Amino acid sequence: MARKKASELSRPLDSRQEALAPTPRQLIPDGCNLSVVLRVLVGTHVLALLVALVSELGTGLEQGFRQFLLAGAVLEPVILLSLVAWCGLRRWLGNASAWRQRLAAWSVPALIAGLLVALFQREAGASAVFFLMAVAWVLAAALQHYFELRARVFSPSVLEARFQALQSRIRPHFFFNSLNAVLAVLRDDPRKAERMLENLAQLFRAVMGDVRKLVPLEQELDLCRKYVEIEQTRLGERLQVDWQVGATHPKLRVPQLVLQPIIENAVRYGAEKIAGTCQILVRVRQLGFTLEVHISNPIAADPIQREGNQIGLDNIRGRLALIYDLEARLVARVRADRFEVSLTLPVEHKQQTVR
Amino acid sequence: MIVPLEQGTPFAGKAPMGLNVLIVDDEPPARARMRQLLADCGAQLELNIAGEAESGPQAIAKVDELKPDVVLLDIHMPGMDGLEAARHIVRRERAPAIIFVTAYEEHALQAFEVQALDYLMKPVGADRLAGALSRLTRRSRSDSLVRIDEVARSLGTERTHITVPERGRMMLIALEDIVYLRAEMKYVTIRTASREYLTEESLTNFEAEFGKHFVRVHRNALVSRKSIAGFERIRGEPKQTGRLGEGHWQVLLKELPERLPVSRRQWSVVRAAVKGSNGG
Repeated sequence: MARKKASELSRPLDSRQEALAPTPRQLIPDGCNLSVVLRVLVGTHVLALLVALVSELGTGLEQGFRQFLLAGAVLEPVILLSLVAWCGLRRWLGNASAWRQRLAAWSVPALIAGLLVALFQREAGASAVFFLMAVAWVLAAALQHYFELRARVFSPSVLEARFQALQSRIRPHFFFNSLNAVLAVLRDDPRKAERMLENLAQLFRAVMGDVRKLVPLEQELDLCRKYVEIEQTRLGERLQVDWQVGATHPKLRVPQLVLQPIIENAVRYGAEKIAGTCQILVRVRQLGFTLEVHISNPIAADPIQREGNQIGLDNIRGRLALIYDLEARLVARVRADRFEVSLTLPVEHKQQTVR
Repeated sequence: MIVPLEQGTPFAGKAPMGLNVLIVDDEPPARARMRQLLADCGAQLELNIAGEAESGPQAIAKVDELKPDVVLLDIHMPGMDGLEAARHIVRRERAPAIIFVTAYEEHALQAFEVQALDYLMKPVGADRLAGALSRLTRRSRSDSLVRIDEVARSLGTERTHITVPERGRMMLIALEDIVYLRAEMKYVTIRTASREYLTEESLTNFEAEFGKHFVRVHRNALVSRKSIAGFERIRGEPKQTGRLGEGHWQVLLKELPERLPVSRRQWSVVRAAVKGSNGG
């Protein structure tokens, strides 16, 4: 979905379609996208299990499950091959008319099913082959329709509204305390005051900018370091950050302000609530096609002060869902008196803005 | 916000020596800024910086030590916040006037307005600070006490410490150090692992405010939930009929060898409360 959305939504819509709910241009589901693959596999298997259980109601559950497993042997190769075919067709038929795209999406799985059965189950009669093809055709049509509707739900105007709601905000407490800290150093160390104002300006530019913007990872990390510098002026020795940034693809892009709010959360519920030193750990590394980020902070022993840690994270989660669908993950948990946030993002190399 | 001076203790009387000010803030630059501002106010007002503190408990200790006239108290601090520190400070004899300082508090400020407590917003302007200091009045202790307690109550904040008077001094006891509280005659004994304190506050008040931390095991005793090590059943005394009495349960404590009896009426409540807090 991510790639689909990114490419589709950046393309101008023609005026005729704009009047109604806009129809996405690419109607063949993206078989290469993990979220699509997962939805198709789960959807079809649940359906197959239900059908198997219902059809074997008389003979009992065990027979039903056996039937399901046997069906799986046919189902899975057909689905996997169809996904690969969808992935290719999508690129090939990208500019074809809407109905041609839909027909292709519905028919290809039927053809694959027919071909597989004809090749490997020669004893099956012609009627059985045609029946199977019809089932595959109907299922493919249903799935394609589902993904088309989904794409329409995530149309630019709807997306726009959702992103608007998830726009980051500057916490007033942080803002006024930072200004106060700038005022404190202004007379004795004007250069430091200048630097703090520059850092604040950069942070504000990001916060007031488009939350959908993808920026180089290095730029986001730089913003995080500037934010930490401001906070360190304010909190002094109490705030310490251990940066463990591994090698990543130089063109790797992440949504703007995806890491800074997590670190801000760590400062807010760690350093601001704990009287002693607060060590925040930031670990960033690339594993194959995913980017892994772990950020953890110690938490106050008092359960009342532990609450609230989650709220800021929901905003990031919402934005990730809109940009990456199921391909990104944000998990937060308490382990050994530390609050840990793990973020997994798919690696995007393309220069793109989700619009 | 100007309240009539309490007779006999106007600040005007202190003018020759100037006002002694204690600065309380957990952030070093914020304290530095306040020092600058107080220096700027020096042209208009007679002021001395008595000292600085970076936490609630430290502020209370400095108030006892330095006897300032005014405390500029930051609200947002880790551990004991400014509001709680104020609740302990105003319970002192000859308590200083308190001016709260805050960057931003969504709900607190409204409560402060209602109770007419002085507060300043960070970044504070020198004019505003001078204005607040020159308007300063020493309220009667009980008046400030009621107002600050009222704000704390309306904000639903809980104290992390309690203040107990002892031989003319005010002792600060961290809630987490308390093992149990026991009512005896007209006093309540507060037992920590190392010693005992006496207070006139009632057990019912403690239970109402700190019910999350303590469980009532007997009509006259509250025990800290985290101090309960276990229970032991005591066999009853033989009765005249020749049968044994019903017996009762005792609480075993983690920090102390002594035991506290659990009343029959409270037994089921105690057991449920302890089970709940230990997760079964």
